[in-house]
Amino acid sequence: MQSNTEIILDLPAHFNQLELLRNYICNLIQAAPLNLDADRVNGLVYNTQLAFNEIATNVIEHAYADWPNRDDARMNVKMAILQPPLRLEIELLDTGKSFEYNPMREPAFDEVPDRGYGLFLAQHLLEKIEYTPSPIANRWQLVKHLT
Amino acid sequence: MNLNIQEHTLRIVVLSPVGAIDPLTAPTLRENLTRLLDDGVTGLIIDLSQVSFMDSAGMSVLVTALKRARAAGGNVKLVWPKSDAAKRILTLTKFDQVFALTNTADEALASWKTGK
Repeated sequence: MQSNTEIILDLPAHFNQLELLRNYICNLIQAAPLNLDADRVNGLVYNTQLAFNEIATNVIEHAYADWPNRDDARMNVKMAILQPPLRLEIELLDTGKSFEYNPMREPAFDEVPDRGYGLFLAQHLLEKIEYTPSPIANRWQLVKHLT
Repeated sequence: MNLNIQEHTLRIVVLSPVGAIDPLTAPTLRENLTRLLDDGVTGLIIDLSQVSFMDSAGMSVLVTALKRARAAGGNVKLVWPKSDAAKRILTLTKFDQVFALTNTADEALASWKTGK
């Protein structure tokens, strides 16, 4: 396993960081040694941004929901382009409340739900989502193949 | 002569968000839609053609507005986003089966007039 590019971030767990994180994802994917047309690259960028955005939102919204001082709530994010196969791996650590992750969760589309699309989208758009709850730091590991 | 005249005015509001709709920005869209619905507007067109990114926070806002508008006898129509990736997300989440989607706001307005 070889890492071509790696970014490590320690950020406030706040929605105003999401755009920055989306930009890092875009830059990493566009700098990867891809042999794909522009539309495909744009699709990979969008889907990865969306999937990660949903997981980070989940952390900000739920893991830190009852956090006594929101200014102390942090997210540690590590993003790396790895190969083979060419992929983006993202690790997200939080020290908030652990979450009961149900990988089979799917919105009840017939009822036109107004919530619950986030994890469904992340599951569909990534090759791998792994969640490891821990009293020290909860860990999300996300993998997106860049092919 | 008795002359009864009735005038019916259909009020349709077009909202055109620009940029990303995420948990930071979705509340602004939600507040505007809520204000319009509270004011009795039940014909809403949300033009997503200039939206560069939309996550589930934005989708939640759209569905909430749709349910309120339809409960009041109205509707919410969407204009497709430009990017193919964003279009695929609306299809994946079956928004294309729930919302009326058009390519432009003018098309959405025209479809309202013709009742389609």
